[in-house]
Amino acid sequence: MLRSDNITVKRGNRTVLRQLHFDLQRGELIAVVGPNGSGKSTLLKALTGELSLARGEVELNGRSLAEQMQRPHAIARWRAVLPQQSELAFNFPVIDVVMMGRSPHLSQQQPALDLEICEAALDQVDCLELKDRFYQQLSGGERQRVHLARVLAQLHEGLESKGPALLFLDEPTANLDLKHQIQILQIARQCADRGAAVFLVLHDLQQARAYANRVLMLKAGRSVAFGQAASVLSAKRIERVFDIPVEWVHHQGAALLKLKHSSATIL
Amino acid sequence: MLLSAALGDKSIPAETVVRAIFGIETQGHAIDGIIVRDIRAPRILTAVLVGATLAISGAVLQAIFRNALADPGLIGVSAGGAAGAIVFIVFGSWLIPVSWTLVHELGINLFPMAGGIGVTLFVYRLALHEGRIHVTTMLLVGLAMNALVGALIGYAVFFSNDDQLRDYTFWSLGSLARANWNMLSWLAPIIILIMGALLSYRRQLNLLLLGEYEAVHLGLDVEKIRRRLILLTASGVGLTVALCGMIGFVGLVTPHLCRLLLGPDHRWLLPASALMGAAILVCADLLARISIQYSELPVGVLTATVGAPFFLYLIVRAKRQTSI
Repeated sequence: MLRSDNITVKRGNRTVLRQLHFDLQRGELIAVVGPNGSGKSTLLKALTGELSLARGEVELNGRSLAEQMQRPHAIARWRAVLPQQSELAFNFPVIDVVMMGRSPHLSQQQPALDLEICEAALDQVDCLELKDRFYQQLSGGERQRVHLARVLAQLHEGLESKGPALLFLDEPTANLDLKHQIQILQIARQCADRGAAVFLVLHDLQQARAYANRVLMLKAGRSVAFGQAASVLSAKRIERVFDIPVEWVHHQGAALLKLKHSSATIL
Repeated sequence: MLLSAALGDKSIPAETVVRAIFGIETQGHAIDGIIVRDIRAPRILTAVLVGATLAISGAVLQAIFRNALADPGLIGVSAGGAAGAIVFIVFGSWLIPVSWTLVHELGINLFPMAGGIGVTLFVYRLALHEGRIHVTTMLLVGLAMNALVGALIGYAVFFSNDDQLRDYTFWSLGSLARANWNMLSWLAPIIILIMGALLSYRRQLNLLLLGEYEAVHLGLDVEKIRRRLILLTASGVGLTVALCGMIGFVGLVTPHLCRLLLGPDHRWLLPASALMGAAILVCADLLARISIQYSELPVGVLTATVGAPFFLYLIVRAKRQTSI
């Protein structure tokens, strides 16, 4: 569904991503991990067309992304992006914010159906009771979940009929408490299980291992490893890339990351 | 509107006003009929059009800049328009023979439009940084543009005689006194077209509020739509400057009041702003005419008297909420 063909991205004279090569299939969740400044968010921006490429090409369904971005409306019907932080300049009711996610589909739907879809999406992220509240009165975590609902409403068709659906999430857990971190990751996982392709930038390596099919590890703009979650996230590689001595501990089927020579686990 | 038609240096009975509008002469009040039809009516209609254009442009600019502090006057669009007008008056009179009235007519309307568009694009380019609008830059560039126009007017005043002088204060303070049927007849359709076009973007404007890229990801061709919106608002504001000079703060205050009443949804905000802007300017013009007998205040002075404190209030409030 998505293919990154040797892409290189520059900001000014600095090369921030170098020759990245990977692919994302339908029904798959890929997590991108790496230390701060390794280019995770930059990669997401390049894949969504927000940044232009110095070299290489991004392909969506076999066709060049740059070419398809000429008509963003067509893509918006099956591809959604949840940025790290969304701002909203004026104070809309929450339900209106979620309804904005329906705008690529509005011409063919009845408003009542759109409303239903949006309420279902809000329910899914545990925010239905915020429906009539105003956006600017929400906390950071609530805002993030409302935007997730907006994105889910946008992809409703793709997720329901198993049509194409592509979802980008940029550190969606950053502002959230534990319960809602898990909730968001579970929703992302469900989307993939329903046939969507999900691209996720993530800090937490344990979560990456638990929820992703494949993991792409970046360091200083280069791909260090790409493949099955468990094999990419080996203790040795984490030690080398993140510069901390760690080991995996297995407990009742769960894999926990722990500092070597210490009882501290890494959350 | 009726009230505005009736009151003035010469008060005219309401009955006469109504009759005059429907073209019926009132016995013994022929002169009143003429005042209403040929002086006050075009003036009030101009106030309606200009007020509506300024308010709707303000609402649209606030969406483009994603900030409630954007106003055609503050960010320098009006100033660009006035600069265009002054440049044309000064250089136009040298370069173009006086007898070419059509060229003069066109120039005095096109130059403000061009000035408005130029300044808006300039401010936008400078204020945009990695997909986000830098509000301080936006306001500072507007400030600089206003200062520049002030200087330009200063030069023009320095080199001009008394008659022209009044003309220049007209541009900087704004007045509806120049309104007549002739001017209205061909500017009104253009302004109405521009407003209609702006109204057709009411849905897209909501998405723009989410941010540059978020709007793209929701299927909006942001680059194209923004270009069109800027072109439309700047030509609308430029035209109003051509009609009646710089009238500040209507574009700032009106959308804000409408937002308080109806919420930020542009589907309601745009038409409501147009109506309220029209009402506000008609009232302001009425006050400007009747507050001093046998003379009148420039209406821009009035709108600024109300608008400037309001602007300060907005800044203080924004400062309390977050940082601007």
